[in-house]
Amino acid sequence: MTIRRQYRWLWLPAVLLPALLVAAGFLLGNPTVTETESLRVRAALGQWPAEIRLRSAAWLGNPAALRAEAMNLLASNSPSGIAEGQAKLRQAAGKGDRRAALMLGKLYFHGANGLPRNHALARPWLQQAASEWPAADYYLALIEKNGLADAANPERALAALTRAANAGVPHAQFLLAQAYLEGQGVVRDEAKALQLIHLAAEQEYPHALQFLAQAYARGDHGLPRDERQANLLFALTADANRDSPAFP
Amino acid sequence: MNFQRYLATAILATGVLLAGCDDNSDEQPSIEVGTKASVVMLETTDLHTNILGYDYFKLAADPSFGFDRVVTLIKAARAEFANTFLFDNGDTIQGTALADYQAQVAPIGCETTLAMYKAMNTMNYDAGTIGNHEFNYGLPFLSQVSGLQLNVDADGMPTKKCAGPNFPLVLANVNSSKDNQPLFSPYSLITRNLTATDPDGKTVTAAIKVGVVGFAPPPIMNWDKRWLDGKVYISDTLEVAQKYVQEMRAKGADLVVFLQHGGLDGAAYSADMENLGYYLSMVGGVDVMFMGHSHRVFPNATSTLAAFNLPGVDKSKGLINGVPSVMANYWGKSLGVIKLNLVYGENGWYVDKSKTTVETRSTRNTDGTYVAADPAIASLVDSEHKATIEYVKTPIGDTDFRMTTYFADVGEVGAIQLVNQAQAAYVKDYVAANLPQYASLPVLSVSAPFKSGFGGGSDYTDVQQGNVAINNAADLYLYPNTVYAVKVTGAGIKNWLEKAANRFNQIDVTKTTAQELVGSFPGYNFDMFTHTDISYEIDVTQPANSRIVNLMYKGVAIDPAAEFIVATNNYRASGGGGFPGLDGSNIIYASPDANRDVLIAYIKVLENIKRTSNGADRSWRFKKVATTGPVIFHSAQNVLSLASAAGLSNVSLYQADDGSGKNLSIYQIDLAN
Repeated sequence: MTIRRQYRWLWLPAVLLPALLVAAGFLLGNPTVTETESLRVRAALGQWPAEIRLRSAAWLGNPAALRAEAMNLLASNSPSGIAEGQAKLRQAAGKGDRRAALMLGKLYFHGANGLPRNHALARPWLQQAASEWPAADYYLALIEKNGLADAANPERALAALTRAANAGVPHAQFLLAQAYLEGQGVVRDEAKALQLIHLAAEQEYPHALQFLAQAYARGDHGLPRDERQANLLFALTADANRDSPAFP
Repeated sequence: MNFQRYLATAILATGVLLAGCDDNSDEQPSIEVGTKASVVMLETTDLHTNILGYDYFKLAADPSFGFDRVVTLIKAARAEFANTFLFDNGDTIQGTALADYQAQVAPIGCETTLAMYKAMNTMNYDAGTIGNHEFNYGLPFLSQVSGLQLNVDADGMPTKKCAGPNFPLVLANVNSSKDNQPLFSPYSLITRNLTATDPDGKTVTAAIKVGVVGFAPPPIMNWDKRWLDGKVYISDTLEVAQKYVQEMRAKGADLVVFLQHGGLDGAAYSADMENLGYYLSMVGGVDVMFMGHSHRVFPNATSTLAAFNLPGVDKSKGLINGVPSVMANYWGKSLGVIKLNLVYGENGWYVDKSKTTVETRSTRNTDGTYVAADPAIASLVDSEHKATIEYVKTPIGDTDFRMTTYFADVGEVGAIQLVNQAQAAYVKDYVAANLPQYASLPVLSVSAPFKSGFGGGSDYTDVQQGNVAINNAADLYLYPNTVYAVKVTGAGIKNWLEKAANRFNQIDVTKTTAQELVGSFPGYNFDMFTHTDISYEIDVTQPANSRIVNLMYKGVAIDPAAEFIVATNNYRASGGGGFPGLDGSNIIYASPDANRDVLIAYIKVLENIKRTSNGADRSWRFKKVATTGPVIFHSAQNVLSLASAAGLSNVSLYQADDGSGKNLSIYQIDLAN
């Protein structure tokens, strides 16, 4: 009959479309990190060529592309989008994308985007991410220091915090500085603390700026009493408080 | 017509048409190959409406910053160099009480030019870009004061073009969601006649076209989400940079300048990243990159900042992957100066890169003095300046008691309780509206006396009875912190208070000689509750970390496992002061609002501050103990009456002058009473 004959041809696009996507993926090759970012932004704006390129790379299992799609989905504000985004993030992390692992770890650490606050679940993802993303070591340090996943482990916490600080995470530099000021888990070392504070302050980390402002106001920690310098640092703190992220 | 005549006509017609294609041909005589010119590009950045060197909270002049001083440097550069271009790199219209005054307190009308732009309009800027802080007052305000009609849907957009800067504002990476076009002109092409030297050494005029394109930091979508969400969106900045470089070159730009309101970051590229300079330098076809936003100076030969030590960054010569780049500090403290030596070759102007110089010039001289401020600027904005001072002095409420910290170390709460009340109310409202999972938890607050006499007798908070103005609020909350709330247990609270109690020395009850009560632990870390629901005693006869006794919540010993929300500030909650357990791990609310602004808002609603309701709730006392000798502490002179007014009957004068030369007396506290 007429209808059945028309439907007979539906198998063509049903097979062709995914085949085309896969072919496109193969032909165009894996996008670079920068290209994936560009694709992600354009896909988020609804530009279909970028969507297709990203989708084809994701279909082929490209972890960065999966993670890029996950990021767009997580930003979608729809419960189904967020659920799908979580799943893709897990896929990407499972395939070794360490940035995705960091993102998952952070979501579980804070409890966000539909995921509950669960430090025990956060930890393995953070451990996976840590070799590439020093911010992960900051979160691991907090988990170990405060016993958020299981019993507190001060040694492991200090090691993770030190790694993050050495890699330039200002939040970690500040906390490590506090440890050296207090002699907590390390031998008290004011000079080392100030060194770390200065590193964090150079990155406009507001609490390091405030620490220095307060120190110059009083002439503390070996710094000269300098009210003008203190005022300038407080002003920089004000700006940094606004613009700096609370977490790495 | 025969063929020859036809050919001649055709050739003539073609010649005429081709002649018309050359933009320069009817403007300038053609430039001789070998002509040289020196072009100096100047940058101001992050002026933040510091038109004058003046601190509106302290109500005092400060020569270490101010547009009126960088103007002196600009004029000097223009006298020194024949060909200068002047650019502003954004974060221009927000940042001082003057900016707030013109934007929010007494919003300027359409015909009024913003004071910052009014001042800049006297300096012949060639172009400026938009930084993140340009969006702080919303799109309608930005549209009005920039003299443009931005194409967005928002309430209060200007219905006509208003007064604005007399230079173009360019921005390439922020687009209107309404029409998917850049919100501002993405770039501007500036044609200039340069004073040049021909191959024979003769002075000639030669034209040049400079294309300038601007970029804002992508996180504006978070920072100013309430104004921008759904109205604008960010492009992939690298992509649009490439696109507009090509476009400007196609339109004859000899030089391309990037105005990036951002700095450097070597982290893996992300389209959302804040500081795009490192990746923008790799775009290709860029001659000069201006940076800003991070409030630093680049080049800086001695910088240890990771971003300034990335591969490809020459922090002495000011080259980023070969592109001359400068970041000129902030608030008019420095002028960025990039000098290019140009040669006109077969294919047009090219840069002799061996002669490029990059530097910043500071308004601070090497001997510590400052260049003179340009008096014309001060006259120009005198009325706006005076109006701002009046605004800062305008009462927002009044107090029936003198709010001071002279005796905060021994129990006076008059300057702290109001801060705690404001913080607690603010956090309580937020939790109720946004964090239902914590709705059942009690919300408490701690704060500390930020000024407790370290600098002498005037280094205390002292708000007189009577009117309370914004600068008084600055006295009540000195630091520029933001409100953070943490979730802690009863045990956590005890640890918190133990740390704070390090303020005091351990007192030996058998000693006959006088003992100093207060040690070197800073007063700004002496966190305290000021609420009748919480009570505790501090036993100063005990060693540190064993001093908090009888810690009670609502009259019952605090349950170490019970959970509480405590409002504090971002510094404390993130590890500042080294308080146990306060390291960022238990933050439940990281507000963008400043504690001081929360306090101001609270006072505006409360209007009348009273000691009975806002200044008499002591949570802590010293544990009573009899000492053989006197226990003493220092405070300002002639303020003993304030102690009794604050209900402290155990304080007396011990010595009128402590001999430090800092206008301090010694007081005695009777710990037995």
